Amino acid sequence: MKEKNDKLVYQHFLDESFEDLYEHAPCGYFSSLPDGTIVKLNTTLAQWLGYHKTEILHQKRFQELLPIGGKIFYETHHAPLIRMQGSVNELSYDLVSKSGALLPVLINSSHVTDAEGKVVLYRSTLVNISDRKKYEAELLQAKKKAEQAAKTKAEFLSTVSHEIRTPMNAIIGVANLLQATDPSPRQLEYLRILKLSSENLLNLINDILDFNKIESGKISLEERPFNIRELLQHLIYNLLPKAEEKEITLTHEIDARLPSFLLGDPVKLIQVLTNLIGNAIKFTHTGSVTLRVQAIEVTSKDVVLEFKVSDTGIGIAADKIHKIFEEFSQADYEINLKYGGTGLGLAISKKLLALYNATLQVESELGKGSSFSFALKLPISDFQPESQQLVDLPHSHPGSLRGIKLLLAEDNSVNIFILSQYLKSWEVAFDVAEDGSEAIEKIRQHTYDLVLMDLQMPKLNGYDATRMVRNLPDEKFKKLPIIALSASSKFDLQQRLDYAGITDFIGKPFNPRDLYNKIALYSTATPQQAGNTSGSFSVETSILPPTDPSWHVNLNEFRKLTRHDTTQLTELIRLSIENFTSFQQNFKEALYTRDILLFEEVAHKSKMTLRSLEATRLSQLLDRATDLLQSGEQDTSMLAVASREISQEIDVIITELIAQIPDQPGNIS
Amino acid sequence: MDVLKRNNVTVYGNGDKAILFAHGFGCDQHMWRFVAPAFTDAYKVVLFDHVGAGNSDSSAYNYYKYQSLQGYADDVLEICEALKLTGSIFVGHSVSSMIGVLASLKEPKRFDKLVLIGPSPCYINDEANGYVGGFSHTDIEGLLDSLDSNYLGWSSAMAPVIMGNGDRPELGDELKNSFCRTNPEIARQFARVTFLSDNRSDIQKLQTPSLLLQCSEDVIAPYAVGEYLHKHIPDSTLNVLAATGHCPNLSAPEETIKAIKAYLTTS
Repeated sequence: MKEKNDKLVYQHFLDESFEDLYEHAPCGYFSSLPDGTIVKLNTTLAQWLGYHKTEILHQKRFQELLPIGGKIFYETHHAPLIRMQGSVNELSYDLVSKSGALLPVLINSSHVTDAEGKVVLYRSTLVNISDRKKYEAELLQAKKKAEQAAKTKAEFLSTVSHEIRTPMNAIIGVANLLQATDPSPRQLEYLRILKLSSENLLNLINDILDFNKIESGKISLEERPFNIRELLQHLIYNLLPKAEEKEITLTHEIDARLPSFLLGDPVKLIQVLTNLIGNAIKFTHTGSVTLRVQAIEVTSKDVVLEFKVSDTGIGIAADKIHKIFEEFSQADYEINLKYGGTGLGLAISKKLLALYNATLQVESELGKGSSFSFALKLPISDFQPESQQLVDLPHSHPGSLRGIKLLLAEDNSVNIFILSQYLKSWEVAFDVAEDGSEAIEKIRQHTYDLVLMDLQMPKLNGYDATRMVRNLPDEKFKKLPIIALSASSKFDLQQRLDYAGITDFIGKPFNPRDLYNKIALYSTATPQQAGNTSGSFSVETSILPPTDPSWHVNLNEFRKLTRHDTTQLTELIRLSIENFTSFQQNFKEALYTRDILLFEEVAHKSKMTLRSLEATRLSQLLDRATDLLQSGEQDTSMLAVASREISQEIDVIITELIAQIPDQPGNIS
Repeated sequence: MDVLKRNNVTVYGNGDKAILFAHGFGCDQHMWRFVAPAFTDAYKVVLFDHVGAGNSDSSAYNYYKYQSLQGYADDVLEICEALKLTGSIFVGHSVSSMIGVLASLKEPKRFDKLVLIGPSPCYINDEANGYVGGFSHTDIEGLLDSLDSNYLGWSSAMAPVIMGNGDRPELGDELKNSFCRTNPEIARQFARVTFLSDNRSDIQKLQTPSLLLQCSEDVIAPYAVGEYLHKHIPDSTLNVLAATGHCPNLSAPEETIKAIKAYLTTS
């Protein structure tokens, strides 16, 4: 009996609590007619909106609680949707409260239908999302701030790097100029260090710029046809000197199934491979570095290539492997101390490969070596590009050296390939000897105008081979010009070169123009067309870039003379250009007619200008040509080379003078 | 380009004469579900989605083509060409009313009659010329904010939850086909093009007879706008429905059907 009484009591409260729950629930409720008129709402919602219930009930439609944008949304989205599907979920609105303040809510609505299925009412539940909106706004703000900060940082980095790059180029340029001023051996060594350090610094800056560009999405892949075999050959060729310097072997194995022409971005591919091979050489002290390129899949349309760079270097500990791909990070601090570098190379390579959806794989064992590999799918190119801009093959090189026959003593197949390309284009006839003994054999059996001798060759090296040639019985072997090819600097080798009886020297990688000039200079046979073509030399030379990107003239003296007055300076430069143009013509004529008086007269006239402008190289060339004329040299090819070099140098000087004409008053930097 | 695929064109019904229904901003062809079936006995019913809405091919969206209503009108004409329609009936809701007017001006042979539901030639007030469209530029910015919070802030994250309509999966499908599926960027652009359009000079050139269905209380196209249209469109009939709101085709389909049929049979 007592139980029954108890039940009656709480039943009463239960009924009441339903109402209470509705009225004071933590969410808003309302019911509306199909046209939106609100016919019931709970206290919570009324309080949120700041209205008395009676101000809303039968007085207001739901859409009247919305700002105008929300009203349009209601009419164009909400109303059709709920008509079509009977309910809507979590529509986001701002409700306008009595005070005019906005209340952000999410609304769920569903219809209530009568027995015939006709819509009688809509019931809606509202969740107050003021807090969520606040968080959202703050998150958004924070995100925008972070993005802006990152952008500012990247822009700063990019600006600063550019700013550093300009003076760095100047430093390297001046170091190059200094090298040509007859420095003492000690100064030369200082210069070498100066250049090396500046170049390293420049590389670092370029890396940072690259990395920044990738980070900000400014790098995209090009697609153009390129010769993959040629690209790989050149790549190896350019890296060989580095390997030779460290006395490690750099070899390559290229799959025979590799198609020649592919479509892709050769510059980025070179960048990645140069980085990987460069690293391998850097971290290898003995043994070898190998580039292996395999065609994994070949169809008529495309090819999947696996590039693998293996070395026998210091390797990476298993627990450090993941670190090497992080930007600005190397396996450990010790590595940085010992080997230098920014740790950006691999990060850049990885990101560049990511543009191809390719990943860089690494296998490594500490102390045994590492191998980095990646696979690329590249389309096969239908047509072959007309000229390879990428690689500096001699297509643009002028002049024929037809009639000259030389021996190329070189064991490295890539070097042979590259040198052959040039020799063929100059129409030089040549034989190849792959080691020192073969070279001696060939020199005995044939008559050559010149020998290009690699110094590092198996069996018999270049020094010994040259000495043995000089000791051959016939007198002609003593005079035979032998030009050494080596990656080491001439200065380091001079004594040994002299001792072996080597005529001259060309550094590796060689400058094609130097090679051309040396061959022309030392070949005793007159190239068949040399005399005839000498008249057109200035035309040919104008398409040649200067040997050296550094400055050939210095305007400081001119600036002092004109007291930094731009108008006067411009006039002085203009006059100088006029003079140089006429000097150029006079020197050419004088050399062509071997008119020593004319030559000396013009040389004398130009002397003051040359000194003011510090045009050291041109002065040297003029001195050399004067010597040549005074010695009564009969060989037209030598005079032709001298004429060409002078003309070329004047072209460079004129170009530089034009470039330095102040364009705005006051700006004479 | 397959036009019928691009605009997700649906054709059904038994008549020879075609009746083409064009949905308005915020919807897709499903909004004709209560109206279109009433015409299948006498007409060939053609339904479609504007590019960017419903199941149209959003990849066909071209910013330049659809920067004015003419781009949408050209689509209507391309659909007519693909189906070889001439002398048809055009029923357009909301913004599609003006799309139908533009299509008729360009190729009058396509439609014999136009039925324009909740039409407006210009939504923005033009005080200088005493024109009341109902909205100001700021209002339209408010709509864009509302779109952003519902398309970007809400639906992209929440759509999967809503689609899990366990007991009534067909609802999930329908929702999927409605505005949640519309590309938010396209919705924004369509909103701008719609609400900033001004076709007041076009309507005066219309030669095709038209029925204007005006709702009693419509925020989007107020009564004054209906009157303006009736005054400026030659050969137009104004019919004010008892239905309120902007979508009588959904809220009062019977009344809408009756009004359209009455117009088609008597005039």
